[in-house]
Amino acid sequence: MDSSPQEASPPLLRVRGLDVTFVSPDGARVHAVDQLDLDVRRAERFALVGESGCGKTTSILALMGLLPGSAEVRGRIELDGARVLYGDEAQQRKNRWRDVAMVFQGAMNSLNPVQAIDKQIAEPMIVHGVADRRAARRRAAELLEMVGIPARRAGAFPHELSGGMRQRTAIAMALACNPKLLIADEPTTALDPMVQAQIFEVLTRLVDELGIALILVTHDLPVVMHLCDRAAVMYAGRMVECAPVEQLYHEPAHPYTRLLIAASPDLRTRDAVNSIPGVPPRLDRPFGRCRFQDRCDRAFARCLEGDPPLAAVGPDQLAACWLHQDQS
Amino acid sequence: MTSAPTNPLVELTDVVARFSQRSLFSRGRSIDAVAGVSLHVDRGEMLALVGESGSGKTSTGHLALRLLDAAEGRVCFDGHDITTAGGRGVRALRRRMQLIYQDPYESLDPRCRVSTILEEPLRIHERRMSARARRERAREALTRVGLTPPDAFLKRFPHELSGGQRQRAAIAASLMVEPEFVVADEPVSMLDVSVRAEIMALLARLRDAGMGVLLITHDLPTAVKYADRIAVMYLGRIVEAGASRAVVDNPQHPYTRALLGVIPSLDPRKRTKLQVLRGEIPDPGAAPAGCRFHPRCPLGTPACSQQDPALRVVSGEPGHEAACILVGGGAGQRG
Repeated sequence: MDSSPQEASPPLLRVRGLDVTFVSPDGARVHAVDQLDLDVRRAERFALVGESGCGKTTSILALMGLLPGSAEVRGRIELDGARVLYGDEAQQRKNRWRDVAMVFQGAMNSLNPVQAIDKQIAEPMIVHGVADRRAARRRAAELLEMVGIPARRAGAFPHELSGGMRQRTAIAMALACNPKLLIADEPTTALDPMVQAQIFEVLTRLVDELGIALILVTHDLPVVMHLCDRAAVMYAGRMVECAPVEQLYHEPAHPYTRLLIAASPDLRTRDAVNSIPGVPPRLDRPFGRCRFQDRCDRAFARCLEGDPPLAAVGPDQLAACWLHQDQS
Repeated sequence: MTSAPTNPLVELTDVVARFSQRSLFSRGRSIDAVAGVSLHVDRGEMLALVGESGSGKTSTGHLALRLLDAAEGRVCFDGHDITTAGGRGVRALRRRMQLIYQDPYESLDPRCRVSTILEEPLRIHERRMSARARRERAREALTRVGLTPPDAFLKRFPHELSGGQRQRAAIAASLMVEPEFVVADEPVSMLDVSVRAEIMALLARLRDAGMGVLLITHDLPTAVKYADRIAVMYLGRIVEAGASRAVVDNPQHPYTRALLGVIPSLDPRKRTKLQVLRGEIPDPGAAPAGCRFHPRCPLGTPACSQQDPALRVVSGEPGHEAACILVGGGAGQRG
């Protein structure tokens, strides 16, 4: 992504050549993430979009150093100019919750059932030495207030709260240590649209107020288009396109992006919705061709000859598609 | 939904689904998850039941299938009152009505091949059918759902299928007994966006071939694209119903407007602030007096806490009804 416009300051998060391979006990190798380059700018709302198995969650877990030992991870990750390393566990662990926070899919079900929510939010602040016990409790009540849980409910236990309120609690917890980057992985998957809208309202208001960058990991294109500034589309382990969302919607460069948009129903249009025929490829063998070629409606001879590299196709748009690359 | 034609395939009249909550510490109270719902589904029609979690959509579907007994009201199928049908009667009905589940990862037995899963219902319902005829029927069902060539799929186990293929196999299994009516409960919410349209198109084709389909979903954009009519549920009641486009383009009930107000536009240039409704859907055991929606309603008036509005015609569109004293003029109360 060196071709993106030159900025005065380096990106908040800079990922180069992130590569994840899962090795099963019988020796099978699944190449889950293939050479991912990613820049997330300060205070921007960035989305990582794709369908199940595309590598979006694996990429995030790799960034956070949360993958199991059976995963081979390579690549360079820089946060705020400083390198976060594998093999440098101490640094990794220290950065993990201080500068980067995460709200997991189903986080609402991961709260401790026998501890009041304000205590749970205070705990990471105490552990990381951000605040003493008393200040931490006060900050916890403040954070709960910010996510829309009134102070009188601060001492509630998780089972006394609805799913939406538990998810807000998880967001408050993620913000406890003043992170610079918040990663939310499908934060509203099990919630219905009304509660989903409430959660997104809280999430976006907070990241804007606190000047935090957001990475939203999701398969929900309308949500991405509505909430985010830029998005990267992943397919079968690779980033296939990355651009501001207006650009992605109105001038998608990669056929997969265009077909994904056509597969998402839009209430405000009468356009027909079309599925994408076929299934994603297996990741346990090398490609040697474009990995979307067999499902693509624009495939041509060159798509069989090699896997297209991610290249600039516009001022702030990257795509991995032979349609947009010079015939050199 | 008063405008029922002369002979709907499925007709619910003022049905109530009642559950008793009993615990170690209390003698229990009863809760009406469905509190007086009337609807009908015709042959060759898809009706979408939409609403938040906890609105009673799934219970309504189960009442229609007689998977739940109605505490009050009447359930009719093909002109016959089946409200109290028992044993053999229900068994005969099971062949004519089927349920398609949300999660194709859980609804298919992981230890059985597709052929076994498909042929199982025939072993129960068509005991005299030969193995050969069963296999032929399985091939037909797979072809109908687009899993072709069928012989390539018969031998497979569920884990050898993708999510979309699994849901198609699950639909094929429910087609084996050649039902006239299916209830599809969130049939695509567990699937990837790229395959949702093909599953919905498959349900639409079944509808076009004469089947009655009750689609249960919280996904309004999908409901509008495929269903003929939409009924919006809130806390055990239908608050608005009508032709899909009429409900979405000209919503009358404040709750329908609220549901529409939180659906983002796909086009980033048409971003508008989502109109988030305050509060959450209450427990059906603590349903508010008067209009059940009034504590959350942006338009609520003092009268709304007094009167429990009934569904009545609200626009020029035939069959477009809403239950709100503030729309359509004049007050109609539930009896």
